Amino acid sequence: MTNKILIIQRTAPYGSSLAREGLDYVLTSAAYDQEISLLFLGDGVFQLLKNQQSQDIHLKPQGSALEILPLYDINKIYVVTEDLQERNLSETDLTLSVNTLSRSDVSKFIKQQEKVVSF
Amino acid sequence: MVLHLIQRSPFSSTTLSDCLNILGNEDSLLFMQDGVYIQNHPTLPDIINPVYVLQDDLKARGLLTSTLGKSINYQEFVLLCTQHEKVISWY
Repeated sequence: MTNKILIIQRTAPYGSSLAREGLDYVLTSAAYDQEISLLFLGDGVFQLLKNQQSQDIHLKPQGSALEILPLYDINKIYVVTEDLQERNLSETDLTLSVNTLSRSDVSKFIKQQEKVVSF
Repeated sequence: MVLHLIQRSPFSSTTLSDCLNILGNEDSLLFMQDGVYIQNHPTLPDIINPVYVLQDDLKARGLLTSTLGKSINYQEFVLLCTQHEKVISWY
């Protein structure tokens, strides 16, 4: 059975394990042929920054891990525009090409999903 | 129509503001766990959506009555979950 699942990533990458767990959830769901969308919201947008070199803090770089998503046919990747702007970031700072959503469009977007999981 | 479960204190977490930024007109908010400290916040956000607070979590923290929204028990919590299309936890 295929579900339309939205995964919301709202934490920065290394301070807690949530970002990593969210990604594990995404990849596992993709292996079960689920229709996945991924929304980066709040501090979650920091996961997408280019040039993350986390080897010296002994953690796997989240940025490079996210780069493999298109190989799993996960292309519905969204970022909240205002959350990027608030953090002085633009789409060119990100390691993946993303779709942008404004805050006011998010609730409509959630409505289109069957399941929503937040990390 | 989403029921949002706010589970972190607004004093130490952006959970509530992240949620309010994207809140839909038909959505409801339930404050639970450390989320119930919302009522001690000096600048309560202007929320027009239905607001609920979990009674047991208020009581556990010495906050006897809810000054914000309707305080509910676990049975009512379950009922609320069934009345909404989706439930999203914010932690």
